[in-house]
Amino acid sequence: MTALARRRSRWSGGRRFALLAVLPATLVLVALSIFPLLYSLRLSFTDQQLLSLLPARFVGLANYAQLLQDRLFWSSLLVTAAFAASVVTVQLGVGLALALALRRMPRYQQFLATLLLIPSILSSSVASFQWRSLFDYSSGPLNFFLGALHLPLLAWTADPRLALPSLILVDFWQWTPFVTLLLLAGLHALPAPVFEAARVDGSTGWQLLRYQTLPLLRRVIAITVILRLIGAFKVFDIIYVLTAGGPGSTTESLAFYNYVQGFRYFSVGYSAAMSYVSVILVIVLARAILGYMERPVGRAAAPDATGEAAV
Amino acid sequence: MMDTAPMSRRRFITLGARAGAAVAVGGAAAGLVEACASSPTASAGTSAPSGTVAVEIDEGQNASPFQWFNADMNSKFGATTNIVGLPFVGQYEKIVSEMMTRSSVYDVLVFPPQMLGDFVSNGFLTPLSDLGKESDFNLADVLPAYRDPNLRRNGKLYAATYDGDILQMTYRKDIFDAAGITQLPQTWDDYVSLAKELHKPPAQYGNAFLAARGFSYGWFINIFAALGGKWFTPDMKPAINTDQGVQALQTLVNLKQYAPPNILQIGYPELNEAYLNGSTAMVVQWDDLALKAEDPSQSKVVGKNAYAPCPVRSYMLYGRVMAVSAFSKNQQNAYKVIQYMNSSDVSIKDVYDPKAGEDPFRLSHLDPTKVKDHLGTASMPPAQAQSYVSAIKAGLTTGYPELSIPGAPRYLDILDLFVSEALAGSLTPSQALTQAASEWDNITSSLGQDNQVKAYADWVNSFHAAGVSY
Amino acid sequence: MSRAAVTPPGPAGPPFPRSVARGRAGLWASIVGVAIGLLFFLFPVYWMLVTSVKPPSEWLTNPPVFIPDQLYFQNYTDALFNWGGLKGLVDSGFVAVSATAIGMVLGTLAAYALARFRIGGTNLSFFILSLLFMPPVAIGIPMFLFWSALGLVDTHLALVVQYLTFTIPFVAWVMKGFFEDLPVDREESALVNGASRLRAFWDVVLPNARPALVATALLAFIFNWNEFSIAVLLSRGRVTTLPFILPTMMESHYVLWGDIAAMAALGALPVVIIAFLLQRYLVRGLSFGAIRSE
Repeated sequence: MTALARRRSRWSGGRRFALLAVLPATLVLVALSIFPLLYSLRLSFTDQQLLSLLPARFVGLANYAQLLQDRLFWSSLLVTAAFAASVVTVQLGVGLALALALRRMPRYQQFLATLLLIPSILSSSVASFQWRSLFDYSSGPLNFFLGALHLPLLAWTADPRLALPSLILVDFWQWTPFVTLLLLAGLHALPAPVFEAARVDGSTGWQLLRYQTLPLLRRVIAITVILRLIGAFKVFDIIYVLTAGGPGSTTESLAFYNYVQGFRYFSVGYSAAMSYVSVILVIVLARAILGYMERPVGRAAAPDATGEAAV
Repeated sequence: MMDTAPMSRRRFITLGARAGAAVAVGGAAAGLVEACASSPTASAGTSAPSGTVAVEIDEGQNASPFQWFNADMNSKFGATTNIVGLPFVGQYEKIVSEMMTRSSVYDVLVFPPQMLGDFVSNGFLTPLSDLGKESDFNLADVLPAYRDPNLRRNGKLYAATYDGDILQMTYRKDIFDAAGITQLPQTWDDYVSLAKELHKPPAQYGNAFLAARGFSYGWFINIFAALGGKWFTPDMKPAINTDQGVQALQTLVNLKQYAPPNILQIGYPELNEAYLNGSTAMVVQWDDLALKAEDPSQSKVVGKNAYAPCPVRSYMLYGRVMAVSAFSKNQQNAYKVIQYMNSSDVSIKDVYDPKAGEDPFRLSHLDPTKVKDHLGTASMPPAQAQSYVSAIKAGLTTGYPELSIPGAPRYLDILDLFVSEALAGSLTPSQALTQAASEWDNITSSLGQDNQVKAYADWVNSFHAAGVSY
Repeated sequence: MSRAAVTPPGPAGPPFPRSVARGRAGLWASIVGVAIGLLFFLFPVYWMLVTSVKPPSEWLTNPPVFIPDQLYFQNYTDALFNWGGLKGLVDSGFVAVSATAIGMVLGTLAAYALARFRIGGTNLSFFILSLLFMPPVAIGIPMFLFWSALGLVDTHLALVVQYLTFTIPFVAWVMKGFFEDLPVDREESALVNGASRLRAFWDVVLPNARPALVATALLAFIFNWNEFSIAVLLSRGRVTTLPFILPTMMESHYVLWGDIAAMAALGALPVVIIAFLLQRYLVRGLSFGAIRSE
């Protein structure tokens, strides 16, 4: 620690350089994010409607109160929660399994990983269109395979019960490779001695995973979950292309419903209130996960292994 | 400190402008402006030559005719069009957000009449009568149902028709004949039993309609109209959550059983496809399906079709009109383009072209011998042309008008959501319409009860004056 | 604050458990698992490519055509010239390259300052990171009003600047983690030898950071190239990136699957090619960002 402190003091001389270096980015971000957020906050206390000839009024917290009673808001929150839940269960589970499997194939790993990653580097609008044709009832490949296996054909996005699971499948397809790669990177970063010791103990593979690997991967898992949760709160593209929120409101996510209120109905006051609620939700969730992640773990900390690891 | 004073829209915009300027002065954007201005692809500052008229229209088949006639327009009045295509879904939000900023990007706006109320009340349009004479548009030749209610507000002519649009029954004559059906459905109950009779899945579906989010409301209103339904009461109470409404929505829900299994994702192209691939015995669809059904390059059922108006009444869903943007810097040429495209000689070429989506709107269009594409080739066999034109004529005499008062796109989108909820089985028809009605009340009060009562009364009167029963 | 040790992936660590019998079975299970995964994750990609070269008569058939008899490239010329794909490529490329380049410069500088000088403490760091969490629609209305007040809706400038709101935080986040792990010795000796801070950064830090810079730029480019929600809000008809064009192709009178697939492939090809060329960096880049954050 004292060495670190000494080092830090030597660096403090560069403050002017540091300020200049951080200033442009900060200015741009403040201008483009803080200003809109403050502006949104102000809007959220008014009943501003862009297309109404009536003047807007200050309405206090009425928009927020109305949100609580808005059936569509709650159902869109549920849809978003379903996406989020699938992220932390299926995407994480399958991603971990694939990462562990890839870890056993050092030889072609990089190539296989890149191949696997293709869905995640496609635009979600590109992805959605492919799935639109895959889901096609009478000439789509998915129903062709079901038919070939003598299974009943599915209406996919046209079935009120299946529409949301279908979109979650698309999200799964697009983002599980990304999750896999993050976890694979995390696996590589694990200290080898842990495994040596475990093997000496005669732990089974499952025990190794449950009691050694997973706890050590906690940080990576947390980051993965945060990134994907943000994704769940942003889900918009695949809905816009695949279902437009239907059938009924079964696939209207928070972001999509917010778009409808703000950009289709131009109820900008109400939409701003909804934005605020979603931003707060995401930040609270992210903070909670980061907090969980920062809790001390029962393992040998190896802070200075970091130095030589890079490059 | 929160400003509690009423905020006008103008002020709202200037506020944004001031904030914007503040940021720009902050230097964040300044360097980038330069960086991008030097790029050859940056189009920020470029203004179109005055001979080019920027036409906003939904991308795809409906934009094509504007390009077909470019050379002719150029030789006649020295202007050509430049299409600014917008996605069909999302067209309204894009036009409104652009026009709110008084942008001069568009010279001609092509949009459905349901948006006319909003556009006029918000000052987006320059009346055609301010730029020329009404006689330029030969209104006497326009079918009454498409005339004043869709074109005129506050006594001024704001728009000229581009696309008629009415829902029509298209059915398989061969299947009807084989089943010994001689009598077309006279009521929606007849239609349902016919659909049931002809439903033999998976080889043949009884009927299909547009049930995906976006336009499902149209197929509900089509039935609602037949049962004598009205949009509102004269004091702007929603009139959809009535017995007729519930019965109409229940009928639509029942029709789902005799439709393809993916009916809830059947939108406009899918509905065409369901019929054109020969799997569906009858559909209610916009009238231009007829042109595609008789086009061998698009259809597997050429020569097997006949056309009829919908039972009792036919809903004049959507349609397109052309108007001059109030912020256009090229209004005279914009006016000329509109006049040209609307003229009898030109419009006759696109309303019968299978590659376009325009539908007849002039009396002079309704002549079976004129059913030809823009290259002059007959676009369907004479018997089918006869059946098609008669069906349009009959449909228009019972045409049911689409709501086009201020806020109409929003009323209709909410209605669509709840029709879709009922079709999905999430709500009963009665619950769905009750909730839709309560949302409608909110829209009405946010736009001002008195304004809306007056706008609705004017709109209803304009239909009565045009001789359309409502 | 302790951090997990990091080794870049790439040449992998020692094989997992060495218990031979179990290892064998496990290896086979792994191979089967990866094979199934590849099949599932790549089939839609194959479907896109194969649809893009099918003639219209094979777009909608039952059974579907999995291997076309002949290659039909007119879909590509349609996508490029009738649907504005060429302009889409140019617009996407211009916007993505500009936003990535500017974001890299600003983000890397900020990351260096945050990592080495702890400027602004954890608050500034968290502020920058939290911007990554922001759903674009949350700032949609003010964002739109801002650009329209400047008369810049539907311009390259608006998209580029707006994309910086997620590019800068992303770059700063990943590069900060990297700089924190970079030993300070060489910078210190440069400073002792009389170099300015800027010179030390330029001559010593950046060359060492090259792999991380490439990886980060690659990921930032992919995000920018694919961006859709902001484009939907800010684009009309003048600036049309590829993800923005696709939905406009849907509502024709009949679904042009081949044209759409060709357009999708045009949008996918550049990133896929770059990803394979730089695969070493791609996999590693994910690990830089993944393993640490504050």
